[in-house]
Amino acid sequence: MKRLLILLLMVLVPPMAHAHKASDSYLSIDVAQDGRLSGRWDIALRDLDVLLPIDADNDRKLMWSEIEHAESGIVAVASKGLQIRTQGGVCQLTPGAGPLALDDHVDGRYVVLMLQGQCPDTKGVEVAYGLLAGIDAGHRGIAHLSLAGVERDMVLVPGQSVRIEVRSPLQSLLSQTREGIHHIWTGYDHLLFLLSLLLPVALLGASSDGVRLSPRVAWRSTLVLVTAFTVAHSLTLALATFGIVHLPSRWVESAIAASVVIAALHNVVSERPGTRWIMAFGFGLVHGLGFASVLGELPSATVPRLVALAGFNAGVEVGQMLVVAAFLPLAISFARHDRLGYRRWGVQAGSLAIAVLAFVWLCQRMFDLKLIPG
Amino acid sequence: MRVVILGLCGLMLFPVAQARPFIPKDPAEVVEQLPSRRLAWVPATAGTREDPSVTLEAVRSLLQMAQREGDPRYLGYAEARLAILPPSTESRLLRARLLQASHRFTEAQAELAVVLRADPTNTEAQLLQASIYQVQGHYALARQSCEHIVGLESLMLAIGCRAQVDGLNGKGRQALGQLQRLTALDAGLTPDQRAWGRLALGDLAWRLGNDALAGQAYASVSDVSPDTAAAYADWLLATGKPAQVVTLLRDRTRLDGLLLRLALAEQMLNLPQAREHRQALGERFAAQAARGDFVHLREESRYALELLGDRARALDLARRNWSQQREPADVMVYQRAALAAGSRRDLALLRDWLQTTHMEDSRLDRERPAS
Repeated sequence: MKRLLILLLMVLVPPMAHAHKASDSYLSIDVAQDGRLSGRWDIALRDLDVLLPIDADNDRKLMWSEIEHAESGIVAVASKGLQIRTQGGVCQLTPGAGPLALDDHVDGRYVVLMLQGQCPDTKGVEVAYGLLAGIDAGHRGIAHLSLAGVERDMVLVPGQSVRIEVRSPLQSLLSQTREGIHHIWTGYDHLLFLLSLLLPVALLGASSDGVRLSPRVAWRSTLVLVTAFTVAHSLTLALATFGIVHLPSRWVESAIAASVVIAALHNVVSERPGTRWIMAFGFGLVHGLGFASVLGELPSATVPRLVALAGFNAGVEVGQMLVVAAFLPLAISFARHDRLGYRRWGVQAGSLAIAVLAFVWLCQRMFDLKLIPG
Repeated sequence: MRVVILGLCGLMLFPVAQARPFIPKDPAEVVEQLPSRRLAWVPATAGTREDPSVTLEAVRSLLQMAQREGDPRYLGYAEARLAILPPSTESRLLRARLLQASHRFTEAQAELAVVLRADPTNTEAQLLQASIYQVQGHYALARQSCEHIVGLESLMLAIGCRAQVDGLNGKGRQALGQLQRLTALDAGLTPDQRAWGRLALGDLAWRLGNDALAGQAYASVSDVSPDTAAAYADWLLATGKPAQVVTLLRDRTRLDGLLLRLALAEQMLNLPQAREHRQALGERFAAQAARGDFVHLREESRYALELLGDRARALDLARRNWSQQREPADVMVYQRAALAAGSRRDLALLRDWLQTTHMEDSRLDRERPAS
C-alpha cells in the first residue's frame, strides 16, 4: 500500500517539463546518379550501451579503447538497423567503411560510422530503419537524404520504412510549369488584371473614327505591359520564396483585388496609354506575392528550389502568352471599325463590370466574408 | 505544415550536427559517462515474451527513473516494453502515465477512459485524469475527478488532489491551509510525498504573494528532482538571488529546463558562461524540433524572450504552448511574451481566461503595468 501511495503521489506532479532530448541518431545518405552510396551515421554512445555490452569493465566510464574493441558489434548493429533498397533491389551497404570516430551532439557523444555502398539504381528508394526497434519507442532517426541531387529531410521511426519517390529535376520543373499555367487560368484575379490592361490596348493604333488601325502599335504596347508585369511579379515571387519578403496573405489578397479595381476604373476614366506600364509594374509586385502563397512545397536546397521556381514562373508566362494570343487578335479585329461599339461596350462597360466584381472581392478579402467565389 | 517545419528544422540542424568528427589519441581516454545501470531496462533478450508481472514492475521503475532523471529515454524503453503486453487495467494505467509524462494528453485520456468505464472509482485513473485536466486548465473537470477518489486509504490523496485544484481555482487561501497541514504531517510521509507537498505549497504560496513562505518550502525540499530544482531556481531568480541559482545548477546542464535557468542567472550576473549556454540552448531546441518534438515550448518561449530578446518569436511560441497547456507557469510565460510584444489581443484573451478560472497569481499582477 505504501508503495502504491508513492507512485500515486507522483501522478499529481505535472508532466516532465525540464527534461532533455529523447534518443536520436543522425543519418545522412548520398546516392549518386550511378547508384554509388556514401554517407555518415551518428549513433549515441548511450544508445549503443543499451544494445551492446560496450562498457566491458562495467564501470560506466566508457573508454575509447572499449569502443574500439566493440567495433565489430557496433558495425553489426548498424547493418541490422538500416536497409536501403530501390526498385532494382537491395543496396549493398557497408557501415564502418572508414575508421570509427566520435562527435559531440547536443546530448552527448556519438560514434560516427562512415557508410559506403552501391544501389542498383536511384528510382523509388525505400529506407527501412530498425535501430532500437522494440527497445526504445521514443527513438528517431533524423535523416538527410540526397538522391541523385534531390535533397530530402525526414524523421525515421524504428521498425518502419519510408518510401521516397524521387522526381528528376526535369520532372519537377515540368510539374511546376503545369502549376504555373493552371494558376493563371484558374486565378481569375490575375486574369482580370491582365484583361484590364489589355482591353484599351487594341484602341491604341486606331484613328479616332476607328477606320485606320495599326496592329503593330497595339502589339508593341502589349509587349511593354506584359514585360513590366512579368518582371515585377517574378521579382517578388522570388523574394517571397526565399523568405526575404513576407506579408500577411489577407493583406496581399486584398491588395490584388484593389489592383484589379484600379486598373479597370482607369480604363473607364481615361484610355491614354501614358504611364500604364508603371501600373503594370507596381501592381505586378503585389501579384507576385500572391503567386508565392499558392506555390506548393518546394525543395529545401537552394538549387532545386531555384529550378522549381523557374518552372513555376515559366508556367505563368506561358499561361499569360496564351491569354494574350487568344485575346489580342480578337480585340484588334473588334476595334478596327469600332464593331459592336468596342470602345463603349467592350472597354468602358467591360472595365466597369470587372471593377464591380473586383470590388466585391476586395470587400470579402478585407473583411473575411464569403459572398461570391474567387 | 508540420512537414514544412520539419524540413526547415532539418536545414537548421545539419550544419550544427555535422561538426568535425575526431578520433581520440589516448585509448584510455574516458569519452562518455554512462548512466548507472541500476535496473535492467531492456529485457534480457529483446523481443521475446516475458512474465507480464515482470514487465509491469520494470515499467514502473522506468517511469520513476524518467521522472527523477528528467530523461525521456526511460519513457521510450517503458513504452516499447508495454507495447508487447496484452492490455490490462494495470498496463493501461502505466501507459496513460507515460503518455501524460510525454505530454500526449489526448492519448492518455483515451486509455483512462477505458479504465474508468470498467471501474469508475479507480483511484490512480481519477488522479491521473485530474492531473491532466489541471495541466490543461479544465479545473471543474479536475475537481470532479478528485471527488471520485473515495475510501479511507486514499483520503490523503483526495485531500491533496482537491487542494491542488482549489489552489488554481480561486480558493487559494483555504488550499494553502490544507497543504500546510498536509506537509506538517512530516513523519507520516514518504520522501516523495514530502517533496510533492512542499513543491505544491511553494507554488501556491508564491502565487498568493507570500514569497518568504514559498522560498522556505522550496528550500526545504531535500530531493533534487528536476522539477524541484527548476521551481526553486525560478523563485531565486525572481527574488534577485541569481548567484544561488548558479551554485544550485552549475553541474546540471544536461537538462534543458535547468540550463535555461542557469543561463538566465549567468546573464543577470554578467558571467562569461552565459553566452556559451545561450548558444547550447539554441542548438538543443533546434535538435528537439528536428525530431518533431514540441513539448518544450514554454521553456523555448522564455529562451527567445529573456535570452535572445526576440519578442515576435517568444509570443508565437507562447501562443502555441498555450494551446497545449495552461499551468501557472504557462500563464506567466504567455503574459510576459504578450506584454513584451505589446499584443493587446493576447492580453485580453489572458484576462478573460483569468477571470473565468479565478486563478490567483500575484506574480502576474506585479509584472502587469498598473492601468
